[in-house]
This record gives sequence, structure tokens and C-alpha cells, in this order.
Amino acid sequence: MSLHRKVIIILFSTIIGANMLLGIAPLNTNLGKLISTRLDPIRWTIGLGQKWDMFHSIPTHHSLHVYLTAKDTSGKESRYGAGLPNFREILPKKLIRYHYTFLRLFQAPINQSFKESYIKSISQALHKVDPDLREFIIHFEHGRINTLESIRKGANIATIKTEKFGPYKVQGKVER
Amino acid sequence: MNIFSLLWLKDIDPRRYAITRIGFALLFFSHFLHFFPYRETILSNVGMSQPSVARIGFHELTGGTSISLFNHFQSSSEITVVLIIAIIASLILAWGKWARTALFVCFFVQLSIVHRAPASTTGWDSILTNFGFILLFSPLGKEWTPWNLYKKWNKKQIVPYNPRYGLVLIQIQVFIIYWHTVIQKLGDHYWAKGESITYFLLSHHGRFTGSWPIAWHDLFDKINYLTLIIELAIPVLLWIRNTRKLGLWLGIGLHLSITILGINLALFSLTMIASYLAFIDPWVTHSKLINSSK
Repeated sequence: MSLHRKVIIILFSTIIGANMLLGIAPLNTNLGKLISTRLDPIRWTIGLGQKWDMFHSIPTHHSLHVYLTAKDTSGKESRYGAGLPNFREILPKKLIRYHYTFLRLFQAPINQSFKESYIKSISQALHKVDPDLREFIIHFEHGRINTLESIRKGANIATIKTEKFGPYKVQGKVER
Repeated sequence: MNIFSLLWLKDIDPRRYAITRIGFALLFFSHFLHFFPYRETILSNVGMSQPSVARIGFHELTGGTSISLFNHFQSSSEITVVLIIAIIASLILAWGKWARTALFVCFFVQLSIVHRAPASTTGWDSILTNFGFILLFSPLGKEWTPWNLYKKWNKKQIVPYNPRYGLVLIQIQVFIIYWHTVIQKLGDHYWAKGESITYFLLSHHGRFTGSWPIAWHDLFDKINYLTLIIELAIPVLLWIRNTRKLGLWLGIGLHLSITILGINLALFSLTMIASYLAFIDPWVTHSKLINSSK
């Protein structure tokens, strides 16, 4: 192997290795935040993001169901699934990415852009389905696991809470 | 310089890269197949978000710049074609022909999914993207098709040798993934109280429904702490040759348990188990000879 190639390999490996080692600092510490702020733009652009928090905070959701209701000009209400483009019913327990997606959209403010885009996409798709529809609501029904102590004493595994987002206007494509 | 040379450039049997390449190719294959049902809702312009918003959203979440293919290929049919190409590329990668090009296709499609839909990504997306990047710049043992490998598994004299940096980088990444997650867990209320496994089994991830985990909580409390110890130990045990088998048993056991007791986590387990390929060395005696004779 030529000296040039050796030097390139050593430089490449040392830089990539150092990036990984810097990833060990948890993101909730000051050091972790500092490293993340400086390096994340490059890391995530090229595919070397270091965010390994899977299961650090354990899941406390027992169930999740998202659906829509829309009213037309006469006040008649219809129910739709939350899956675009066809408004099919989505079962997040079967297709786990939808579970993550909906939780992030409706419970993490940092995903506001995606939430707004989803609402806009629903609005336009509903208009295509039925131009008489005027407004819609997103129903976010999630079961949060009760404390182990209360389940032991006879409570249900989870308490279901329904949050409603909207009403939002149904409108066709809007020029941006 | 000598330390760096020893760490990154030590010669190893090229078949080690070949088994890692084949393992990750099959992982990419499973991953793209798994993603197929989501493609229209998550990636297309008639799905949950518009590509223009995804670009902004990706930047807001990570600070990075979205270079996703799916910013350009936006319709359902275009996305289907891209995913089919990625599935074919993963099979070509496993075979070894045009391995670098096939890996680039797999990696770039995977990176594009993360860039297009960061709100829909999972832990194994990040792991796969990282390993894909490392492999992209590593030897791939591409002269070794699965068939050749099977036929010449017991052959002793294998030339040319390959520098080991790619496998060492994957090993470091595995170490960081396990240790980082344990450090995070140590600061978590549920893990500290020994309740994490019970909650996990009661959650949407639990395969066997009902309140049965409550009755077994005393056992799960101990498994909670044991899991942390095992996760800390796995990379260390895998690194040391004499304890590697124990590390493999513990790691595979842990991830198989997650797959059996939890739903929707098979790909995560498969990803972690595939990463162990970077540690195993079935041709250990021969590798020792290569380096001692130099």
C-alpha cells in the first residue's frame, strides 16, 4: 500500500472515530449539547448523526389511534382515517413508524413544520374528496400506562385520553 | 504514527469484510422491504408532508442540509421505482459484483429516507446510515461472492490482505451505541427504579397483551438492572478474543428476547446482531500468521 493511501486511511479513520467517541456524551448534558450544536449539521448531512437514545426513556404509551372528523356545509360529520393520500385507517401498533411519526408531530413542538404540513395536506386532500367539506378535526387518542401500583390495585393498564386538534379549514391548493 | 498504523492498518483476512458486506446487504434488503408499505404516506408529495417543508424541517431538527433524492423524486410511482432499485442494489451488494456502486445506492437511498422524513425515523435508521457510510469507504471483500466464501471457507492462504480500519470503526460505533444508551438510561426515572422492563411489556411494544407483567414485576426489576450490565458488557466482551463467544451469546440473546417479547423491533435487533459481524474472525489463526510473518 502506498504511503499516500496509508495517510489518507489514517486521517479518515481518526476523524470518523473521533466523531463517534464524541457521541458518547449524552445530549442532555452541557458537553453533549455543545458537541451536538457544533457537529450535528455536518454529521446529519452526511449520515453520521450520533443520537443513541433508543429505550433510554421507556415507552409509557399503551395504545395510539389517530383519526379525523370533517363537517360539510350542512353540518353533517364524516369520519376518515389519518393516513394520506387515501385517508385509510392507520394502525400504529402494526406499522411502528406511524406511532413515532404521530407522537413526534403532536407531542414534540420541534416538529411544528411537519405538523403544519400534515394539516395542510389533509386540508387539500379532503377538498379533493368532497368540495362540500368545510372543516376538520384531528383526534389523537392515546392510552397512557397507569402507575404499576395503581394497576396492581385493580386500575386499567392505561387511561385513554383524546386530544383534539382543530377545527381547521378545508381548502384547495393555496399558492405559497 | 505507529499507534495509528497499528490501530487502523493491521492486515486482516479479506473474507472478514466479505461476511460483513453480505450481512449488511441483507440488512439493507430487509430494511427496504420493511419500508415499502410506508413509502407513499411518508415520502411522496401526496403523503404527510411536502418535500419543501421536509427540507426546512430537517434543518430545524438537525441543523443539517437535506440532500434527499426524494426532494426530486416526489410522486408515488417515482418513489416506488427508487425503492425497487435500492432493493435490487442490496442483492447485488450481497453478491459482491459492482459492490461499491451497489452500496452507494443503498446508502444514499437510506440517507434520503432520513433526510426526507426525519420525524418518521427509527433508531435503526441511524445505525444503518452510520454503518453504510463507514462501509462505503472500506474494503468490501468484493471478490468474495457468498458462493466463493462457502467453497473456500476453510482455505488458509488468502491474499491480498486488507487493512482493518473499516471493521474497527464499526466496532467503535457499536461500543458507543451501547455505552451511550446505558449512560442515558442511568439518568432515567424508570430505569433507576427498576420499572423499565415492566412498562415496556405493558406498552404498545409488548407482544403479549394483558397486565401479566405486573405479576412478574419482581423478576423484571432484576432484569432491568441486568440489562444495563449486559449492555455495558457486550462491546467489551466482543472486543476481547477470549470472551467473544460469551459476548455474542449475550448480545444475540438480548436482541432475540427484544424481538420475541416486543413487536416491531425485529429490524432493530437484526441491525445490532449484524454489527457483530465486524467482531467475529473465523480465520483467526491465519490472521495472526499474516501479521507475525511481516
